[in-house]
Amino acid sequence: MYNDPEFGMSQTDTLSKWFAAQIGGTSSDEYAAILAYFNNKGIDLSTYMPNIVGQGSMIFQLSIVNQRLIFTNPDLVICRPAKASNECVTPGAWGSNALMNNSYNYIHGTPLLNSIVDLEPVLGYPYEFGYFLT
Amino acid sequence: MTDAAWLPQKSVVNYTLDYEYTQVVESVQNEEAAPVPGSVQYLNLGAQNVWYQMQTRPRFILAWQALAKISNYFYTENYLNKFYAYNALEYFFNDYAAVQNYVLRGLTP
Repeated sequence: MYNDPEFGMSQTDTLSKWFAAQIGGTSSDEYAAILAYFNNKGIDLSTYMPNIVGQGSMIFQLSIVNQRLIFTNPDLVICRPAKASNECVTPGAWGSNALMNNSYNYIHGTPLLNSIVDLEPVLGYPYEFGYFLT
Repeated sequence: MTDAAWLPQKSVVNYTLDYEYTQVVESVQNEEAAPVPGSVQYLNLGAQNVWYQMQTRPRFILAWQALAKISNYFYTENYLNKFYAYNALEYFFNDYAAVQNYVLRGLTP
């Protein structure tokens, strides 16, 4: 499972699907997609999912910590009530690159990235207007 | 859009004038020179403005399209989940043994 090409935990792209399932909850499409995918491979995860993405799980804890870092960052989130959502984060993330180029948002020890393109190479170039500002 | 050309038939637009000059005394309103309701032809200033910018600002349309694409990405893609995953991978999930012990405990590798 760790290196699975679709839902493995060793790559940012695939690991992000587990975070989507954690945030979406048990009734989300992302949660159902993981169950269905591994069920199709003969692995029944239904009893394991609470340990993997439920409350108290490692993914849950890291997700909460990271979301909190984001919505308490006054340079990034400008909406009230503050939330770690696309609507709240996008103005700061795009306008001043305050998501990627801001150590406040990173869990301790994680290397800073320059742009969203570092996470999404398919974009081809930095999408943030703030990336091009000095 | 690199070979865009100005359409002369779009240079003039029609609009209906129905504004009433309520502050003007009646005797003036009745004068021949006073505007009356009806259809008026007017230079399409809005289109000319856009056309002027297209002609004088290099890659204007490309910049507009790029902005639309970027806006769509930021509002519709789950880039925050990828940000969380990146942090989690660097902080903990790059350690296979730890993941097996604390996340996938009980599951066959």
